[in-house]
Amino acid sequence: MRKFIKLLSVYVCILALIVLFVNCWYIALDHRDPNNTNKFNNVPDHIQICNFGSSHGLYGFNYEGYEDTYTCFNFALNSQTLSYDARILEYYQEHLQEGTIVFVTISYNSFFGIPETEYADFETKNMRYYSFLPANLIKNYNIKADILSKFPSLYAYETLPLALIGHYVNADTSLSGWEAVADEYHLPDNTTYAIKNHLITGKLDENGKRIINQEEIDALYDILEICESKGAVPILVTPPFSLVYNNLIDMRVKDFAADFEAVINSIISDTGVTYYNYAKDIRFNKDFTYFRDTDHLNKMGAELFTNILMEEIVYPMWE
Amino acid sequence: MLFNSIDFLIFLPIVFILYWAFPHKYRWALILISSYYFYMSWNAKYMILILFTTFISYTAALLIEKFEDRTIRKLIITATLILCLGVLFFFKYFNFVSSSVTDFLNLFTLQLHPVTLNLILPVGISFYTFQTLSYVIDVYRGDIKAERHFGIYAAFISFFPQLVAGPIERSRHLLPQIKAVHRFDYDKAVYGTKIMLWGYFKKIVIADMLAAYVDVAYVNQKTNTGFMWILATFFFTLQIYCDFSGYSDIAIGTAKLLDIDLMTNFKSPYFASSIQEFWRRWHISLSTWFKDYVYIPLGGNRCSKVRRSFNLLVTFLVSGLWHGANWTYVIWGAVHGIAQIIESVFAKSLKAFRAHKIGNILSTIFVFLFCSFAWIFFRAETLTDAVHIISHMFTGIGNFSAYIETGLIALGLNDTAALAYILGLVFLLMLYDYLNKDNDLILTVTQKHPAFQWCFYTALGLFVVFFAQKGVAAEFVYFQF
Repeated sequence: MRKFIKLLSVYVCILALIVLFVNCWYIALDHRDPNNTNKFNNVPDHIQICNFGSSHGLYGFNYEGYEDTYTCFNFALNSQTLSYDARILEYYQEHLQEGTIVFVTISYNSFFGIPETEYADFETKNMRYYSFLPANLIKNYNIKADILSKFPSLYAYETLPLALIGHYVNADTSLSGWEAVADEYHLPDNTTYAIKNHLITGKLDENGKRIINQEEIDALYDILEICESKGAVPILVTPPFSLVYNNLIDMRVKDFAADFEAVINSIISDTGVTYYNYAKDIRFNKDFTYFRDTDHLNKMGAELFTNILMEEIVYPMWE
Repeated sequence: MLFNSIDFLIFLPIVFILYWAFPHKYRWALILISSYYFYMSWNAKYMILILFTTFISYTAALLIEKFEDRTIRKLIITATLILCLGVLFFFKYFNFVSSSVTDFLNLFTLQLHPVTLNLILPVGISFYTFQTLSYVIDVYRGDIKAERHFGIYAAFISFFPQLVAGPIERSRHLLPQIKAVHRFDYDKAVYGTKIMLWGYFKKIVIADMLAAYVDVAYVNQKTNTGFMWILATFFFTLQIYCDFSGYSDIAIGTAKLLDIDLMTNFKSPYFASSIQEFWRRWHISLSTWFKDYVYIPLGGNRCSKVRRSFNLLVTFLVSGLWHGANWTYVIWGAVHGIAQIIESVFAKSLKAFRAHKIGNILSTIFVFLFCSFAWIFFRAETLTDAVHIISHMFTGIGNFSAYIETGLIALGLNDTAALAYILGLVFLLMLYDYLNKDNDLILTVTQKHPAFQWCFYTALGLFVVFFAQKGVAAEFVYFQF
């Protein structure tokens, strides 16, 4: 039996060494950043302008042109909830300073739906936070996921052989598809799909009534509290959406506008926070060239939107 | 506790070390305790059911042996069958029978509602019920002596490697091994580890990967059409084989670590050249169980051709029903039963056809295609869905390139790397099975130079580590039985 245990130990050690080597090799060669989390390796100090949010925040803000003058940072990530915005802010609050403008992107689905931990893809989505948040700020933290997050080669699957031969070395690391312009022909299908995901799937109870997600609303209150403690200025903002998106919601999603306004007005009256709703801004609505798809600005649209925010909100505030 | 979970990877070494540390006379107790712990990790309260079935069958066997009167013996075995199958029926088939009867009565516009129970199906109930029944029937037939030691008998029924998804062991094969004195066998332990590695490769690399694509197709099974169904069908054919045979390999390998031999459950079934041969290679423990306890008691093939066909059909219908409480499983069983009947009618000409190499190859391909087709009924949720899938598989084939492209994209296979990866794995699997068809490939590799073996199994281990699906451990397909 000793011989067997020795054999097994040697075998496991060989496997472990090869896994370690391959993992290091993979990390060195793979410069992709599919989850856009590499930016958290270099969060600047004394941030003057920043934003949080989901993909609407990730693609909606373009600080190019302002970064020479101000210290800016985009904390948003795809499908990020307010509850994770709050956790990220809690962790990086020391990087803010007195007077930091904190844009909190409010999407139409920010306050509604089942808890994000109940979605089937939650664990997969949650993995990205292990690379930059501490254990106590990660939902449903588990040590297995934490260990595996340090070994991205174990998740590479069929792309691993390609990555190991350097196939992805020169891959574009900027935001994927940000420069694209929405395809007007496919916009209606894209819109139907987007609205189903944002406002229907997991957002309505068995009686068809909108589910209010109290966890997300409470998280917004936490964000406002942290901002207050740091002397930062929180501003809630809904970015522009295409005309097709807005029209389809108004036509097909019953009582959505009333439900959304009820929640946001309640938060405003409770906290006095300012909220700007650019969802139907005419400077964007009819011009598809500012959008990469029905509800996300492209690079040009984000540049215009950020300019508008600076001109209409930030500069007057600083005067 | 799943075989592909961290819990099991901790559980097994502990059991392994304790087993060989324990003196022989207490090993049955360790098997019993660890097996019940293994089972209770699923749902502790369902331990009562396996204990109940164990107690009933143990007592029945002793009573059958005690009484010589045929009537009393018959009464005891009948009562045992009713009790054990009653538990199985109650948890697995009650809702199905209730809704089927209600649907039938509603054909006469009675407007009835089915009585349904909100019950969780106890994992492995079909397997351990059959294992206990085979024991009692064998005692009744006088093929074996009743086991007097309750603990040893309970360890036999609950033996954890094969408890929840087989192989369904016969008492004359496993019970003596539970009682035997075992010495650590290095070669057997190494063999067991190797076969476990293959099992993990099949289950967590191939089966779990293919499951993701199959699920994409079946999530909208009422509306999807075209080439994606051809792909999904072939993927499911491989998925269910890798899932189930992978589990069996892990079970067999685990048992070998304890110097216990379980029966081979799969032997390259997709290289069978006839449906009959397929069932001699697929889920061997179940097919032999049905042969010995259903087909032969009905008369087997020692009767007229018509009666033989009837026996065959009934056996396969019951087999289909064993797999699940749904008419789709019954139809799946019926399809196989009818195919075997047709095969038996044309037995001589088919045998002559297969005698030629080309004929044999064509027969093998045909059997594979037939089984793939039959799996549609197994995987679909309803008969209507199965019919929809079959009738819409070739929708759009007029524009062949678009038909193929649309199907690939619909399944998320618009990436050459993903397609190459799947084809590579399928090739590896088929190669292994082809070489293993009439041989033991693991033994063959064991005879090679040690350097070759180290390279081979290190590569296999790395494949498992890197390419296994790392999400929440997916349930084995057969756990629903």
